[in-house]
Amino acid sequence: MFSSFSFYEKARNKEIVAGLSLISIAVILNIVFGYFAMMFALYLSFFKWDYIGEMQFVGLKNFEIVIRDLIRGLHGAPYLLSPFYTGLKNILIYTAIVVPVQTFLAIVLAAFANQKIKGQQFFKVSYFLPATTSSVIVALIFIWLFMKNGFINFALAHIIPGFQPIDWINSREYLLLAIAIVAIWGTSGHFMVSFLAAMQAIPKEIYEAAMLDGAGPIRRFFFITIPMLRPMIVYVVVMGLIGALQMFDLAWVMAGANGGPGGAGYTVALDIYNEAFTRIRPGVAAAKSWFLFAIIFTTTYLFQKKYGRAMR
Amino acid sequence: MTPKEKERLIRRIWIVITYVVLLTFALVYLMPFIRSLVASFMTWAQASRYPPEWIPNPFTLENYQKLFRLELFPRWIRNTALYAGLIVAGNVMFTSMAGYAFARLKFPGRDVIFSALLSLLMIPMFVTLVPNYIIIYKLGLIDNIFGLALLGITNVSSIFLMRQYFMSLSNEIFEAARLDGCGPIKAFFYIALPLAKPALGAVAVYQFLGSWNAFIGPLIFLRSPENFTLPVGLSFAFQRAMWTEYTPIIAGSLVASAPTIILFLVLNKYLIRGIVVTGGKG
Amino acid sequence: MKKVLVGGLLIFALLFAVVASGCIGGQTQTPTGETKTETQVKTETKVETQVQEKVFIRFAGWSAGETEMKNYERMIKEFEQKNPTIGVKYEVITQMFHENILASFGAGVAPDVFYVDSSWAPIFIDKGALYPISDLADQSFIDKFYPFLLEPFKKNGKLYGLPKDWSMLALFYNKKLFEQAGLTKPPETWEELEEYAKIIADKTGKPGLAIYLGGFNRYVPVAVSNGAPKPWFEKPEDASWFDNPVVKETLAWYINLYKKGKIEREQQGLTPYVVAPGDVGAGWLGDAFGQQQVAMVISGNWMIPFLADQFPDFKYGEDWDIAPVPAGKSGRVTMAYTVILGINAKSEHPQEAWKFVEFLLGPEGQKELVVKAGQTLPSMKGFENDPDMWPQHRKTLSFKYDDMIVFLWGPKSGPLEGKFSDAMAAAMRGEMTIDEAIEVMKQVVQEELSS
Repeated sequence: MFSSFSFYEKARNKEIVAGLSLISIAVILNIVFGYFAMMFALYLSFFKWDYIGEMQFVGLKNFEIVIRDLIRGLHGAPYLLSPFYTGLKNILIYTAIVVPVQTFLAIVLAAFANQKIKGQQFFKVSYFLPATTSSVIVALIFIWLFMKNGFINFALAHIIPGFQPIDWINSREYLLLAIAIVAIWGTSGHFMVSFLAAMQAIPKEIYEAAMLDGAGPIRRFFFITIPMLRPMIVYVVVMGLIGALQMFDLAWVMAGANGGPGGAGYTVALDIYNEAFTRIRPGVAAAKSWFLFAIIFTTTYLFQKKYGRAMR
Repeated sequence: MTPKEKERLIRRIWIVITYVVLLTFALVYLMPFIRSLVASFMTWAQASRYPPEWIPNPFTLENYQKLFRLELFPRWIRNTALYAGLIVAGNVMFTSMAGYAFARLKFPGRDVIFSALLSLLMIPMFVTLVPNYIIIYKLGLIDNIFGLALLGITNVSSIFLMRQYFMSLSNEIFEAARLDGCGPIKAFFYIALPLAKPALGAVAVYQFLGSWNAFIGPLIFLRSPENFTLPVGLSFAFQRAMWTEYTPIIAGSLVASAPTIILFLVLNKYLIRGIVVTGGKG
Repeated sequence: MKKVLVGGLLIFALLFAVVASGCIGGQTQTPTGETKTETQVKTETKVETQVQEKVFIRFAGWSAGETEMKNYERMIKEFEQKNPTIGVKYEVITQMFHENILASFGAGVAPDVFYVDSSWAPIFIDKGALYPISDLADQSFIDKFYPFLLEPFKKNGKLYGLPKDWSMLALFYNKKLFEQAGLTKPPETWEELEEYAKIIADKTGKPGLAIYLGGFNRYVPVAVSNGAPKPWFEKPEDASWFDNPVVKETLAWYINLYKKGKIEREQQGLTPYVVAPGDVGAGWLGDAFGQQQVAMVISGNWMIPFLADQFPDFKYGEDWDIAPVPAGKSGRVTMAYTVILGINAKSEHPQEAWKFVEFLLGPEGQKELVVKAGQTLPSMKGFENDPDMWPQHRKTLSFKYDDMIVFLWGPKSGPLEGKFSDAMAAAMRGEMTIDEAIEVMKQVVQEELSS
């Protein structure tokens, strides 16, 4: 970005030189592998290309395709004719399920695991275990657990009386939910660790004062822990939003590239993948990526505007 | 009942509730692992039966034998370890430097550069594929673990985590060092870095988990089976165009997740302490 | 976060400025190609000075595990011994194969020889990515292959690839369940297929037939064997294929197999006679058949190694057998699935690449890589009675068909197959009427092929 050489001459103090040289490697690598790619994507979004031949300038046509898809979807076209709209709708529902549940679950687990009791270590490890496994392999294993004759139906049938086995993976109503369950299972432990850390940083004195005032554990949780955790909650929600809105691998394994029955598991990231490699329209894929970028950017921005910053 | 007895009773009830909740969740979180562990000793014909069976009959080590019969299996473990090692080392080194600079040094454009880096987290990976392919190829690093690692050694979220940590450290130490004539780079190596152990531990664990399990990156940038990492290798060995050999993949993923589990057991205190300060202050 | 916004805007502004000045185009586009060929030439000249005129070619495929990989490595070694001036670098891409190849074309670094699935072939042929094999091969060599396997890879009189192997659909049936139901022979016609499925369900309590929800390619033999033309979609007007009365009738029959055989039967409280694999807790047709949950499936040769490997106690000949795909009013038709070895049109060494392809596809290669491996069928004629061929595969080869349709519906086969199947599945589940599904399929054709 800046040539450090010309800076060296102008530098008034060491701090500037030191700062720039310390960040140089990280910045250079991210320029090469991040911004170069970003620029390429922007450039590509104005072109028609098939990877093999020459690029053809098409102006804003790729963006027009995306907007037409959205309009068509809003008018109730079947999902096959409005894939981006379908993906967007699904990923918003998915995010609306996953982010609140995983955040809430992570806080609850952290709160319980933070008690001074025997076996605390065991519980922490059990909850974190899912976060240590590869999402692609986890998804494969869950396909097997979610089969109609699989373990999950078996367990549910024993817990809920009169439960009828669901064909999760092949059902239009339940596929997205199944994917969301796997996501929650896999990430809540990860965020639990973040909350555990934040909880341990809350000064003990506050709790002691509250206890003298006669506040029980539940009240302490709602009136002390939650407010004190606020910056961490914002951070976890923002990270969760970024991850959930870009979700690809779980859907790719569990729903397949076409999004499963009725496109129930189709996501924006899957659609970008399909544009890039199945329909061979990398320009449209790039245009869709910018839409997705804008969506992630605005949701995280709005959230932080309302609830305070995580990234400062 | 005296108030004291009442309090003790409430406390006891509370402990019981805590245990019930903790155990229920532990069961839910562990169940897929337990089920996988049991199934890894079964034939597929038995593992797919309904209602689910719990005792492997016939008990078979075939799934594990299939893994270890793969000539390349040890190589894949080595490759994965090398890749994870490079990623962890790179992140620990470079992101701590960058995080320190972003947190504690003043230089022009600091906050804008930092924010610009953060926005990289929001770019979907498929658009970066072709350009990165071009770069990696130009560097002659296709099918090379080092080339693959180059893409991930300065992870933006690690920079973020390190920066938050350094911001939480108290000013006085750095002021004192400055008065002693300690330059910013020296201060980094002699003061900041030793203080940053918990955050470095957190970065190391998160990056290890990510790289040990990475799938799409290795799939795209590695080409020879002898260079594969474990997740790609397992899919190579047991996924056919039309079907998947489930039980060996289950066995393989259990073997593959063993190091990450051990690492978490060893380092989880560090991990939590590393985030304590970063998260707490927001 | 405001700063993030500012940062983002800054990047945008920067990017627009750069694009406007046209310098990205200069940086990434044309020179990429040029410098790349430069580097390639450079490395090659280097190699040439070291080893005398040794040429390296890159060969990319997916792989069915370590055994197949070793077979290939063995053959490559043998080839290199016979051709000391050619070296082969074997690359394996386990998932997203064609996506990867396309990306490597985009980066200008595609391998010299690579697999192309029949459904992807038109994309590669149309865009000029494949070198015409007919310019390199002797006609006598080409004539050794099954001619119907070559048809889809011809364009303007040139042949763009030779198949490395193939598979075809056949009817797999469970002998024990047939016996229990009092049936003595496999069904001969589509009507019999449905009838037998019903008998089996009533007599044994197990569904007679499993089909995929959707699965356009599994439906095509029904249409063509009843007199419909082969589906081919090249321009938007080709959507009229769905207006053909035979297509309408057979498609309704196929969709109703599931609607009547599963949904209506269950409403009546009876055992369904047609199911999808998921309905019986199986991942795919082979799994449902291997678990003996259903009595019949129509599937391909890939079933054979799967059953041998995953269900060793379920034995061919004793417990199950293979029969030809049922016939329709105007004959017996099956589907063929094949993969070709393509040569990169931009390869620097097409001659050497061809030599390698010729070796892999020749009788020796077919014997080692296909016949003995037992995964698929050899694409070259003359192995029908080879003692090394698995008896199950040999039996499928002995069936007589009036037509073999290679899995290919024109330049957009992949997306079309996926979307047709989705529409069919929706109709099977009763979320759409059959007429609505046909309407959607026609719109999909127009949409995909309009630009």
